[in-house]
Amino acid sequence: MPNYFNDLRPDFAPREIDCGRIPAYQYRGTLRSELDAGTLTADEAVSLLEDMLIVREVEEMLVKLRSGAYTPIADFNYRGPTHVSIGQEGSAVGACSALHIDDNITSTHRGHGDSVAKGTVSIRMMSEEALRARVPQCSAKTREALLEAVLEDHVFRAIAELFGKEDGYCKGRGGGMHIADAGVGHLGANAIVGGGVPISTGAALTHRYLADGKVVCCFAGDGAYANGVVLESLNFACQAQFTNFYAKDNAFGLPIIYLIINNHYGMTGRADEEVDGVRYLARRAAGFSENNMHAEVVNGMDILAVREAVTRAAEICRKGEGPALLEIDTYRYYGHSLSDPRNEYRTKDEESAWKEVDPIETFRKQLAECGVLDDAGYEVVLQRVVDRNARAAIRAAASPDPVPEDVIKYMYVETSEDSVPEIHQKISLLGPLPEVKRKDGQLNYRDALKEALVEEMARDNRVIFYGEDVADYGGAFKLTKGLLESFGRQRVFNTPISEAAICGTAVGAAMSGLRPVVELMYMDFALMASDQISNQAAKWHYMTGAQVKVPLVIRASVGGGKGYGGQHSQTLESMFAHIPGLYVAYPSTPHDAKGMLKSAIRNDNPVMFVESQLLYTVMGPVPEEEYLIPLGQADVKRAGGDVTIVTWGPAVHDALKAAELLAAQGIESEVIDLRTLVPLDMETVLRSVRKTGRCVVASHCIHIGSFTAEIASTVQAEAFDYLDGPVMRVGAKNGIAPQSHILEAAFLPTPDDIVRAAKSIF
Amino acid sequence: MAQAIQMPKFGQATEEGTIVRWLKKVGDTVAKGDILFETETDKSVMEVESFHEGTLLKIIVPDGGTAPVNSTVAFLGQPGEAVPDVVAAPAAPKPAEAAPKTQAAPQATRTAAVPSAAPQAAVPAAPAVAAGPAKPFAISPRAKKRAQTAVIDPMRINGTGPDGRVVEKDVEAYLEQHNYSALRITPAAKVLAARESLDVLALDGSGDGGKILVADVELALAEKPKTMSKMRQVIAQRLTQSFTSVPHFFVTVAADLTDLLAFREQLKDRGEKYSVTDFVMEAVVLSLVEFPVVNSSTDGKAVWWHSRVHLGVAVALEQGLVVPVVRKADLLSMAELRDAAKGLVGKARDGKMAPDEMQGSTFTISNMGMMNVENFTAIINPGESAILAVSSTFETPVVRDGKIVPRHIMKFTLSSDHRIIDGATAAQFANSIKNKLEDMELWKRLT
Repeated sequence: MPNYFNDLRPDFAPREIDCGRIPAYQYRGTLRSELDAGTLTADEAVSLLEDMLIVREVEEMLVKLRSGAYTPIADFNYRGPTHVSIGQEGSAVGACSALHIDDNITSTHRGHGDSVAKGTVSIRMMSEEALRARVPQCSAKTREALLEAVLEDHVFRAIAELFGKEDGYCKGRGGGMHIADAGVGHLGANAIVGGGVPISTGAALTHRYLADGKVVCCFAGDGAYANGVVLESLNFACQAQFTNFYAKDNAFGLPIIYLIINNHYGMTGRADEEVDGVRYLARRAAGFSENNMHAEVVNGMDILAVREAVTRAAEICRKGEGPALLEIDTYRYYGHSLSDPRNEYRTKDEESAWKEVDPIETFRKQLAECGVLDDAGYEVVLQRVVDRNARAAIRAAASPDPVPEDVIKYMYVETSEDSVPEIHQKISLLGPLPEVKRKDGQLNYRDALKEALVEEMARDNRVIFYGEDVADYGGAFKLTKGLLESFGRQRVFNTPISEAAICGTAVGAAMSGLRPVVELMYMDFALMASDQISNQAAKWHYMTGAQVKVPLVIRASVGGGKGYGGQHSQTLESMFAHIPGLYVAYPSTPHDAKGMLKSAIRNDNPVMFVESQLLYTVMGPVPEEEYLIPLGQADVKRAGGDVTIVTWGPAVHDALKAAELLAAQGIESEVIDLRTLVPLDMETVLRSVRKTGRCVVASHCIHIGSFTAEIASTVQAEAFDYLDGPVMRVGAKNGIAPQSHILEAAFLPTPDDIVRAAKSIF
Repeated sequence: MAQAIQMPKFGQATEEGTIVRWLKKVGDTVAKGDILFETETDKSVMEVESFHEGTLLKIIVPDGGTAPVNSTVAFLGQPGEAVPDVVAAPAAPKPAEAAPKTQAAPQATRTAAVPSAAPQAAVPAAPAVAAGPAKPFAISPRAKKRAQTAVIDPMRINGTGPDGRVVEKDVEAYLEQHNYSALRITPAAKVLAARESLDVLALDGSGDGGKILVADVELALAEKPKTMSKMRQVIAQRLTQSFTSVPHFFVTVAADLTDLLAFREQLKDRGEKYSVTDFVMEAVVLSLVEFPVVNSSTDGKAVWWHSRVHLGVAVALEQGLVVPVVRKADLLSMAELRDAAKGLVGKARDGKMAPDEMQGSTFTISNMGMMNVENFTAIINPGESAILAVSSTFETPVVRDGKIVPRHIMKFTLSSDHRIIDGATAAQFANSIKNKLEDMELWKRLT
């Protein structure tokens, strides 16, 4: 049994807590010493310089474009953001040069450098075959010529993305703040400060689970390290259960390097002595792990120091001793963007002092001193960079824009995992699969969901399941009891109470190859994770121009009707239906619950899977043989010719009761269960309304802004001439769910409310 | 920026205009001064010139449409230029349209909306339904569609839905009640009836077994009530008001024009052309100066004597009646009076009169002399105290010095507002005209 029983005794003996020591600026190497030690060749050193120059040239181009001063395309109207990272090239190139091609990175809104550098250093490492695959049209004979073509193609694709062009890495959907390149493991820059940190943590979860030897390097600024989800992610990553006896043979720390790119300004907020309480953000590490996450502070203006530190951190991670945290002390020469004049919060002298230690200039001097590259050689490299950038920029400016008709193309992916690759069919079980008990061929809603989860986990080893209290305890509603015992803690584990990290890591895990299912104990808590659900899970397929999929299921349980009050009772599916990129499902019967959850897990889109605690004990027939219920297919739960009642979730049961009451008065209702709000099966609704001429839309959502209005609006627009009366809506009151059961009964809609609404249009 | 073309405000009191026809199509090039469209106000048809040049981008109020003055009726601009999303401003409801909407009782709506054998009777139905708060006729989209498919008039259906809304089952019940399934109609007849919004249940079929044919629909179409022209509506309103609120009485006098006609021939030989009407006008103007009470207005409490004679001359047009006004006729010589009247009448016949040229008359002459009329009476123009109806001149046997002789006799009848004009005054005034017409010395002086 993988279950573990705590046996913690009181121990109040006096003692001191040793927080250990965090090394800072300890690198003593030079280019000379690196060359002598063989840790760097002369050619590699020149490449590091060239890569920094490539990054700087791209960003200086953006700066010049804003004033028409970039002569190759002086007339081009650049419309995107200008969060340049000039001054930080040592961090970007230094860190990326210490990673493998297929190691992941995530970056930030100031991510041009990280994105360009991950590409250039990876390209330099690629085999000839891999290079040719990137430029299939290229007829270059030598590796050198081929490499040059691929580098230019890379710069072109990056610039095209900044320009919002179809040829950009993300087909112009992402732009500079969301650029991603799956081909070199780049999971995306992120325009939400801190938003990428749980995603990279989730990618590390994938690499830990798959034991594929990959490492994730998470770039995020000093500003992000004050953000809740970032601190949640560090705690999530450092959970003891990943490395101690809980993990048994699978003990392996998350292979992730958190790089705090401390440029000292979060937009304009000063990390030093203003918005943070510590001089070194590396101290944060001491709050999350006993080993301080191997934290160090590194001179970010010295590319060799960064490269050396990230190399060691990556080794730590590959040994399973991660996560690691490095604070990279660097500087941003420009303001937050070009509209920031900088003179309101820092001195010119400060800027000059940092420019004295410019990463490119200092490294160039070392190259000259070591006789690797003289001034003439440097001019050759620089000219090559400038010319390449100009060619790429001219091409990018002239390249086609996306066509307007495709504005919502890539919002959803049409695929689902209909067959599991053989390698993922291997399931190691610690015990027999948990069984659910049928009574006369019937299961309750809770067991139907559990059976779906069990079947899908037994079908595909990429399906993992985590959330609060879901493992040993079996979930707050005992829906997942037994899963840990069968599948083990690698695939079923408890999490800290960190909804944003739960959802955010699941996004990262899904983007990097797993098919996670996570649980939110109450749907209200989804609001704690709303950035990760709405800005991350929903948007990455689109923002990357369909480079990545996010096959993720977030199970959220609605507590309404149980007297749990305002923060545990909300029916919020309408909110998530308003977020493009998400699927939203809400089954009403055990049969639908099982078939829909199985489909949701196999679907390649992120699915907000809503469950109702009121329905967990509802019994219904559930076949033992395998079946799926496609997402986006409404179900006629009762046929009738006089009025159409459109509904979903627990309101389906209210509608069926209402239909009985109406039948007694001679009115035959057709009850349509939408089952999924997104995708929406409007055709079934319209077919019915065209028949009956009357429509009532009912749900447990509060009335204002409810998805019922969306249905009503579409019905009147699409079936106006068929309507024999106005479309009526029934929902909860426009209020907050109360604790008092008297008030809650008045708050929630009832079958009588539906009857009243229906009769008002006869 | 596209230039909005407005419905002009021609007269002080004009509130809306109907576009008779557009002379430019969408896409046509328009130069400054080009005529864009003709509009019919309550007084006349006006041509509207363009103040701008460009291309006619969009017509918002089409031929036959009515729009409030100063509302946008079209846009002018450069080809391809975006046009603001403007819909036609609602015109004041026309009586014939407004009537059904104000009906409370379904019985009453029937009269207004159904083609009737006696269209004259349909119009007065409107004021008859004033009782109760106005409630819009309500019908569900589904029921409306069903009625359209059946080609029936849903306004005749009793609604049993919420708030009396006509719902689908009401239409079905109505159809059954009227034995709709037994109705026989040719497909072409049904299509035509649908296009013309006729009610097939109100049609009589002349085909085999009472089958409704296209000819039957065309017959009904001819009887369909038509909205009167703006001008006709104004005439109706003003004359009804006058005839029902002003106590008219009539004095007829016969004038012997034998000498005048001979004198007129002499003048003609001299190259001076005057019509009988010109003499009548001059005689009237001279008499009005002598009888100021006839050149006055009253509201029933006060009387206004007008110091000047503004002479209205009723002109019959195809579309109705207009009354051009010769201003300050008392200050004009006879030749000037003739020329002024001739110019105005010509403009009126061409529909080119400005609204201000048809306002402010103090007395009106209605002349049917050329229409072979023995005698007739006219209705006083609102705001005036009398009107003179001039009939045709006939050679008539007359007793003169004990002998029957043929003379050219013309009758004319003065309609007077009895509130301010008594019989004696009317008789004196009428005879003053007669005497002047028969006084050759006078005409020799004046011509």
